[in-house]
Order: sequence, then structure tokens, then C-alpha cells
Amino acid sequence: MPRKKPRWGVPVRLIPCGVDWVTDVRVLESPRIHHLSFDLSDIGRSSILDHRPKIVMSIPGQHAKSRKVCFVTVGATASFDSLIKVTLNPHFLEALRTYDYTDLQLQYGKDGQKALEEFRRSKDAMSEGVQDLSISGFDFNKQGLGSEMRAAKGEGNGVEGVVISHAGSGSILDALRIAVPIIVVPNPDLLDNHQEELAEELAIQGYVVHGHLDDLPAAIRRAESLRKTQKPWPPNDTGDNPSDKGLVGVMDDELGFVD
Amino acid sequence: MPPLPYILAITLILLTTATLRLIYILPALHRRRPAPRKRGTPTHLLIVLGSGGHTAEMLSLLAPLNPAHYTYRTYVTGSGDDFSAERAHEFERRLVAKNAEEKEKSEPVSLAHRDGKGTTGISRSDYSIHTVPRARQIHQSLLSSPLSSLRCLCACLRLLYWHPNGYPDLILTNGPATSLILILAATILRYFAFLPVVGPAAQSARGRTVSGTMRVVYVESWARVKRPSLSGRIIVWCGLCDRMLVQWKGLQDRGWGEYKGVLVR
Repeated sequence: MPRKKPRWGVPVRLIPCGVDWVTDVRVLESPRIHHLSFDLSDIGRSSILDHRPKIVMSIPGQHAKSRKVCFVTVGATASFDSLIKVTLNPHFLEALRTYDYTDLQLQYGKDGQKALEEFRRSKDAMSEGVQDLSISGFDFNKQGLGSEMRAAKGEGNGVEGVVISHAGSGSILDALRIAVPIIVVPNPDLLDNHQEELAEELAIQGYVVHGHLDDLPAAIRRAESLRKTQKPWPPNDTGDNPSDKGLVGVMDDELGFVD
Repeated sequence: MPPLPYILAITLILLTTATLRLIYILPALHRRRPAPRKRGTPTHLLIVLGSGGHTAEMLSLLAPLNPAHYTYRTYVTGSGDDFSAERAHEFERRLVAKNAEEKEKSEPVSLAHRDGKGTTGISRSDYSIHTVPRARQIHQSLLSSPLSSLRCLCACLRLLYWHPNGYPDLILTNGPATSLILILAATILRYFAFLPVVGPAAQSARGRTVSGTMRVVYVESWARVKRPSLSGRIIVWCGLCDRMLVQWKGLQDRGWGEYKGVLVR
């Protein structure tokens, strides 16, 4: 059984697999990977090469963790650096670790990159707890945030995480549709307070957690209870008259369609 | 030089006429039932798309639209908003695909049907996307941009007047700035009862009237819980829309629009 030393000096134990030609195991330099093993069922088959084996590295003494993503989005139009800064705060990262999060992904908008870079240079990033949290970021994706939302949902080989959103209706709806817990943090710098009202109302109805910049760690805890009680979307309420057909009904009316 | 009383009288008569005409055409002051029509007869729906959030929500609202009933769709976007235009194209492609699928399900395809017109479904020319100059830049107030608003208004008038399919039967909007201007343009055309006598729609417009066309349905954004957006308030205050739909019960309770449940899906 080959033994290799990864960069951070922890010996890697390969899970015995009885196939000794699996010698060329490279340990990736990213701290993202906690586990390295081969999917044995695939090795038995001849199609191993085109089947891309699942690589999981196991570090002795460390608990096996599956991926759990916290996805933070600030939208495209206005910047919301204070949210990015709060999510990089040691207290918040500590809360993430408490609830077994492995990934923190930031969609930081036009000029949020600075905050992330500052954090990477700071001594917080070097502390032990932060090391096993994989933190990444990007400015914006014009194609939408579907893949990040699904990663937060835990599609693939992860468990369900959480989405933290500036109260943009698009991101809230996206999260509600795929039923991933969402924390809504309205931007207090914006003059119009309709986002605050939206977050409040949705929280009252039990769809989201209404978060504030100064209590985000608590919001992470509340998101765990929301996970169990979140109501399905869309709501079944169709107004006063249940036979109404929503927008299409009104449009039909206005066009004078006779049924 | 006629004496002053005559001038006053004439002015008064003109003003009264103008006001009466305004009362007559403003949907909020004079509601009329639309003329009944059969499903499947040609209809023209105009959809105003705004930037980002507006567009996404509008297309989500339109998801249950049946293209067999809404036979022609015109999308209007502000200039420089390629994103919205792209999304509209994408939406139309999905609409065609969904429609074809439903057709296949409802009527088993026979061979004779295959080569006929039956399975071609909705063709490409059933919609068009138009661009008008933006009424205002992002974060610019509508009032501080009279010149660009005027340019936008001219473009909207031209768009409505020269549209090959004639005036739209229905204008659907969720309140981007461009839509205010477009609704204003529609109101002007209805006020003066301009029929397209020149231009591509002149032929089809013969013998029809302006009244009854260009009805306005305004859908307030789902993000508005207690108070409509500025566009919504302006449209209601000026009495420009035939129907206003809101997506929160609280708004209806406060006297804004009709609540028919959450419309975004």
C-alpha cells in the first residue's frame, strides 16, 4: 500500500482496495479535500478510465465530512460589501464550522473582490479553524446562479446547506423553488425599504430566515430549524376566489375570450 | 379681435371637450367590457420587459401562457438591455417546445398529419422583439431626464403605430420605466383615436376602431409587500391601467389592485 505525504504533512491512509496498480495517487494541494479513496465498484470494471473514479481522501483522525455549502449572493445591481465582510467574520466562520459546513461560496458583485482578498491576507484566514473551510468567490454569472443554488441544495454528493441572499426577489424565488433554506439579509444602505418588508413577511410566513448584518451567526442556527419546517413553494393560496385562474384568467377576461 | 367673453367661452368649450374625452378613454374612469371574441382568433399581446429583475419576473408570470390563444406576442425592451431580449428569445423557444409537446400528447400523430401543417405548431414569426431608447439610465430619476423620455415616447408611438400587426389588444407590464412611457404613448393614441392609416398595419386596421385595443394589465412585483412601486403608484394615480394585480394580500387590503394569489412560480 503506497503512502504519500500531502503538503500539509498529514499522512494519507489509502483505504485498502486490493488493487495494487492504483499507485499513482496524487494528493491535491487544496485543503478542500478531506478524503481520498477510490470507488471500489468502479475499479472492478474495465471502464474505470472513462468513468472518472470518485476520489476521496481520508486523513486519519478527521471525521468524514460530506460537502455542505453556504452560498452567499449579493446580486448584480448594487454592491453589498458589508454582507461579504460579515460572512468573512471569524464568528460567522465559527458558526459555519459548528454546523459542519465545508464550503463558503461568495457571489460578491462588482467590487466585493477586495473584501475577499483582504480576508485572505489577514491573519483570520491563517487560523486553524478556517483552514478546513473552503472559501471561494466570483463576481457575477450572467447565466444565472442555478448551479450554485443546486450546490447549496447538496446535489451531487453533498448535504443540504444554505443560501444567504441580499433580498433580491430573483435569488429568493430561486431558492424557494428548489427548497433550500435561505437567509435573507436586506441591504440597509438602500433607500427603499421594500426589501425589508419582503424579508419580514416571508419570515412571518415561514419561508425564509430574516437575517441582519449584526446577527448572522444566529441566522445560521435558525436556518437549521427552518430546514425542518420550510413550507413548499409556490403557496396554494389563490386569493379570494379559488376558481380564478391567476394572471392568465385576468388576461383572458381583458381580451374578452368567451369560453 | 373678438371680445374677451368669446375667447373665454371657446377656451372653456375646448377644455370641457378635452376633459370629457380624457374621462372617456381613461380606463380608471370609464370601464368598458372588452368585445367578446373566440379563442384562437388572432390576438396581439405586448409585453414590456425591463432590466434584470423585472424581466425574470415577467417571464415567470408568463409561463402558463398558451400561444394558441395569444397568437402574436410583441416584446419591448430598453436599448442596451440585450439580456432581456435574449431571455425573451429563450422564453419563446420554450413556449414552442412546450406547445409542440402538448400537441403530441393530445392528438396522437398520424402519418397524414406529419407532412401537413398540423405539427408545425407555432412558427417563428409569431413574436417580435423591439428595442426603444431607454427612458432613463439606471439610477437616474425619470423627471431629470425629459429629453431621453421624449425620445423614448417618440419611439413608442412609432412602434405602436407602425407595428405590422396593428395595435396590441393587451399591454402587459410589471413596471419598468420604459413601460410608463409606452402606456403614455398608447393613451395618446387612444385619446386622439389615431388609426394607422399609413404604414404596414393600415390594411388590417380598416374598419376597426382604437377603442377596446391597448388595454393595460399591470402586475405589481412580488417583491412589493405593503406599498406598490413608484411605477405602480403613478399608473394607478393617473388611472392608466384597466387591471392591477398584486401578489400580496396586504396590498389588496390597503386598497391596491386585486390579489389573485402569488403569480410568480
